[in-house]
Amino acid sequence: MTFPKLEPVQPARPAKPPAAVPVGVGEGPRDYLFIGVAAVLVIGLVLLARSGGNPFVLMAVVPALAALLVRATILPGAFVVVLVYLAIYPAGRPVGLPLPAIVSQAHFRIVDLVFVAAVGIYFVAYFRLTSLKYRILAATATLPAVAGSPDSPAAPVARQGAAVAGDEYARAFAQVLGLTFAAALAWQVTNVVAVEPLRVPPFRLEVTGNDGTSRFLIVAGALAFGALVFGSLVGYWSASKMRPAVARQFLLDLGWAESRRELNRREKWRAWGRGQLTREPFRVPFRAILRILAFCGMVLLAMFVGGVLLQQVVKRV
Amino acid sequence: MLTARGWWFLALSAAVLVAGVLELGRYTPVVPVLGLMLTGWVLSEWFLFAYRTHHAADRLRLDRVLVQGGRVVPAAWVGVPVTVRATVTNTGTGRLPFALLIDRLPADAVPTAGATSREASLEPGDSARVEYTLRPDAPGELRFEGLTVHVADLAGLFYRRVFLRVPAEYLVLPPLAQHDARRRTVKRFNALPPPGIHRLRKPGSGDELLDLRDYAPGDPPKMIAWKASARRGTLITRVIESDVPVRCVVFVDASDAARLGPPGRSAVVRFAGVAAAVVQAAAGNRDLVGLTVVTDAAMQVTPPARTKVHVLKLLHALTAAAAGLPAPLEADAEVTARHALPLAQELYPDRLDEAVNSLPFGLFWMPVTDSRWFVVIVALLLAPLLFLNKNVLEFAAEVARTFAYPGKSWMVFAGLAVAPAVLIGSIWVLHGVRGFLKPRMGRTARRKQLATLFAALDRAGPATVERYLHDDAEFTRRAGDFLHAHRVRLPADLYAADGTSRYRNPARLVTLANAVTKTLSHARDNELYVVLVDLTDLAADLEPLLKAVRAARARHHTVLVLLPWPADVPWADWTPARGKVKLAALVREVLDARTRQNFDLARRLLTKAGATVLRLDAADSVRLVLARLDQVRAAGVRR
Repeated sequence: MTFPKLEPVQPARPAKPPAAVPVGVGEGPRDYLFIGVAAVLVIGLVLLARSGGNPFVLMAVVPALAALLVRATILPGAFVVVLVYLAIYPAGRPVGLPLPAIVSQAHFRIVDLVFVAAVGIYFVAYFRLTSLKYRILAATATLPAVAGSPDSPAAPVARQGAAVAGDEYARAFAQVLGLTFAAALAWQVTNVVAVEPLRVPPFRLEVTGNDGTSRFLIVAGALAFGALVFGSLVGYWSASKMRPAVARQFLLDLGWAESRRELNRREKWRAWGRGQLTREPFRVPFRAILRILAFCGMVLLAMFVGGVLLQQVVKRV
Repeated sequence: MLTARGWWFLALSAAVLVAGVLELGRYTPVVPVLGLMLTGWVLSEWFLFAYRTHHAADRLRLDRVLVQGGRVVPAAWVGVPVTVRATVTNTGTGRLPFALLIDRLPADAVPTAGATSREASLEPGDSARVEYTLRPDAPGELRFEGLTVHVADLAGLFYRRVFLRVPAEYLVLPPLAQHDARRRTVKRFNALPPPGIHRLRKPGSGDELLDLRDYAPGDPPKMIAWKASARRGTLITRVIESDVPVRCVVFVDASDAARLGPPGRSAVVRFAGVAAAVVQAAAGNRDLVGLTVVTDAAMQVTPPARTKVHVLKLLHALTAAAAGLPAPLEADAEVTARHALPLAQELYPDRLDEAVNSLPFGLFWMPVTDSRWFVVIVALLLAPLLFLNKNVLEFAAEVARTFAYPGKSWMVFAGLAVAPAVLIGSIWVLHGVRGFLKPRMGRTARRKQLATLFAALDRAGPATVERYLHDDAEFTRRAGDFLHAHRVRLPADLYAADGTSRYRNPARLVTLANAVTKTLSHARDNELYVVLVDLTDLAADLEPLLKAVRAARARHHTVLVLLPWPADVPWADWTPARGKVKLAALVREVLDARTRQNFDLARRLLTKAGATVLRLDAADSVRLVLARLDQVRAAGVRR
């Protein structure tokens, strides 16, 4: 009996990683780092111009730059808060100053657009850099190399996902610029359309400007309406693309939800019937009754004997 | 779903938007436009992610092959490295910018080379491959459930997990003939017949001389022994031995008791290893070899043959026997659910989504009508009827006069009238709300999700869902089957309160004895029966097997019984410990002593019945079997 001789196993040819470079040092991370720094520079310049040359406002860009270099979740949030503050108080010194003047609702400048777009690009670069340097998912977290540790890789190499597609930058920039223009347009719309719920139709044009409540109602209504339409479309679309097995379970669950009260009742009857079958017939607990009677008799006897003895003692005394 | 990063950024964007729209937009348009832009960016990323997951993540295809020696193989071999190659192809129209592919390893498999995960960016039509090497250590089965794909957007704001469920089972065949199972080169008997031939001491047409007898008319002249005839002066005829092939039948105990033990080290795995070596060695000597796999209630018989295809068939049968897991024991429904749900979440994430596996509010509400409190509620409902009695009414009036301020007694009456309703409401609410408290809520949710999943997998109806929700025994049975099918062992107490194994089943010895008897009925000549059986806890119930052994011996067959010895029990005799003895150690020693006692009893009884008993964990088990096979071939005659 001879078996075909197996050839020696060839080691599997490892897939060539697109970028075999240390984590966070590759071409992609470096590009995004530069993009983020450039965006911060633009933001700083705009802030400097708005403040009339006050160098103090440049302190706002410190958390933004730090967020690009070190990993701290709080820094981008702090950066946004400071930006909002400086947008209201460009000089950065509110103490002793009156509230800022109310600007014209239609007032909007190109520099403001540049400023918003720079913030958007900064956040795109920040999140992408974070994904490339640290992780996108928890499962892809890269542990720092520890000298001497057997489990620690000597030189952590870049993940294969670290490869940056060539058109990625253009897509991101186009997306941010488009959104900036759309946001500016939406803001103009919210300023000229006033909401009056008691009128039909509940909208009217307000060329002189709009109040905050009306703007909020428009934005909230647009978002809610958009979410409703979008959710309905996505829901219908998802249901139409559902795989047969999942669709079958969906219908099963729906059928259960509709009939569960009746089915619940039936199962309880079934359990009751089964319990009746397995339940032992009732028997009079003679032994327990006898024990109780015996105990009571002993107690009575003890009381009787005790009483008699007590009576004798009392008589003698 | 949104990641933690996505949540905080969405909250930050929404806060800027609300603040800008409501108030800060009066002073500068930058804040509301910034809020609109950032919120719009999150929403647009969400839209893109939803599109991609529906058009790409749900349309990924997984192809898996095992590669050995540069070619695709349908099975693996013990001790031979095999490369697992899982290829994920994006058959959709969407693009996945980031996907983390993690292959789910079979139970207890450890890759020796390569990585079981990788990250990839999958354009439409693109493929990514995960490749690693396994080296199976024991015969059995490699079950690959599928591959997990973690999908995320490039910013890490959204995330989704998809499991490409493509179950694939590959047999791990026992090792090919090794040094101890190869053909012997040491000549132990002087007159060994050619391979495949077995001397049978009956008249026949072989080569060896069996006897000389007087010539009888009709004997062929060529059978006359001329020299002997010349010496005796009368015609003498030669009687020649019969030549028949050696037939060896291996009986393998694949009952649940034999399947107990750590993965790859159970008794049945060892049986399969020894049996495979015996089968290959016997086939190498052109002996006929058969196999009977005996489970608790059934037997699978493969009649003896000697072809290559037959040997491969036997190896497959042995592998299938070694791959089996013990049937799940009855366990607590909650314990079973706690083990089944994580597995279901890993393998069926799409089936546990609340969109298709709902957890309605009413599921957790505990109706008071199902409890004993319902009697109290009925009593409270009927309580106002007491006022129809004049005495009760007077008593209530007296109470009202006593406790109420003058002129306010109607309030007491009203209170008495309302009190039952208030009590009923309180009992109803308090009883119902208990279903939303821990641990009951989690228990109900687990049960419902698994019940719907099981009913969907079985293609059953809504009544089955409700059945699994209420019937603990049904649910435990189905969940046990679910775990068993996915080769997950449910931890359970293996021993009953009296110390006996819960897998103890004397009926399996009856099945084994029937298998031997059935083989006897088809036997032609002196055969060798190799019985690999686990007799732990069954030493006192050997009578059916002893009868079968006696019957085999009565027909001049050779019976060889190989008994496994537990790996964690020392072979040395027990010596009582001195000094302080811990209870656990004492229990362990008692159990070990019981094992030795059972083994000795089984060996004594089987030996008395005529069988040869060997300990399976001896290093030369296979050699001993082959030596016995040679003895059978030589028919016990040494020259």
